[in-house]
Amino acid sequence: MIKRWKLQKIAARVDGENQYSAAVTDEESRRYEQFVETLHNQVQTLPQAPTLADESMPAFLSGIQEGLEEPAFGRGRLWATASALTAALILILSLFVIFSSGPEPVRATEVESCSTELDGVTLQTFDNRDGVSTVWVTMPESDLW
Amino acid sequence: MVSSVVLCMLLSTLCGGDAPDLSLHFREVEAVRDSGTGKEYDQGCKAIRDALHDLPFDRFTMLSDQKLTLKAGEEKRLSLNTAYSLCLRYEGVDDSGRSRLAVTVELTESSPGRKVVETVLLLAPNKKARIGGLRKDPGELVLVFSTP
Repeated sequence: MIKRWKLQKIAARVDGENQYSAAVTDEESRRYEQFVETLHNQVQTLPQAPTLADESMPAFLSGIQEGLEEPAFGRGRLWATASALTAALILILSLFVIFSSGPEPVRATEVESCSTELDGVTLQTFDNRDGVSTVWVTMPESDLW
Repeated sequence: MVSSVVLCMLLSTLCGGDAPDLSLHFREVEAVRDSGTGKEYDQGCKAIRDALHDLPFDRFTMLSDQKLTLKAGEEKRLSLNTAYSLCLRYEGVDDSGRSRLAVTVELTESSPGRKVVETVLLLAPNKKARIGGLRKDPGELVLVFSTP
């Protein structure tokens, strides 16, 4: 286990702050030194963060301002379209359910109307106990018609 | 736009179209009063016993058993026997799904063309309707209508 002060010393030497310190000799310290050197080299290769020149600052700020003031049309329009489509779909499905629910439950057979042209003939309508609708013609014995 | 088109298509599909053809089962039965005990049904009449058993006759004989297909608005004439003719006119389906059938029985012998009975039957699926009491020696005619 390397002491904390020794780690700092190794790191300072790699960073060039303590050039005259003694080189590490033990294996663990050497590995740490290699690690710090690798880290140091990688950091050197990172690109420089962009900097904003003073003369570009007004344009940069005005761009931010425009972005804040401009309503987010793209996403809002998408939601509006999606809502309208959903509403239309619900309407269509509702109409479909209403119209496709079919007619009222079928009732029994029925005699809607009946009449005769013959004198002396009478008509009766009734249903028997099996639900058979009946038009019964009663004709006189003598052929009155 | 697309929704409107779909809506129109749905409505036209649901609301449009003519009434389908009517499949009608028509049976002509001769009913006779006998002095015998109990009721007798011939082979054809056994199938429609529910439409005959309550009538005050003893013997039932099937004279005609026809399956007809009627188009809406079309008239079909049938000869029952020498005394009567039958006119059927299918008038479509009502709101409750029953078939509206106009039935006219006319005299053909004594007063040709005169209507013995003119009736409109609303036929529910798998139910029967009948017209009875048409005199025919030695008994009476019973006309039984049913739809599948």
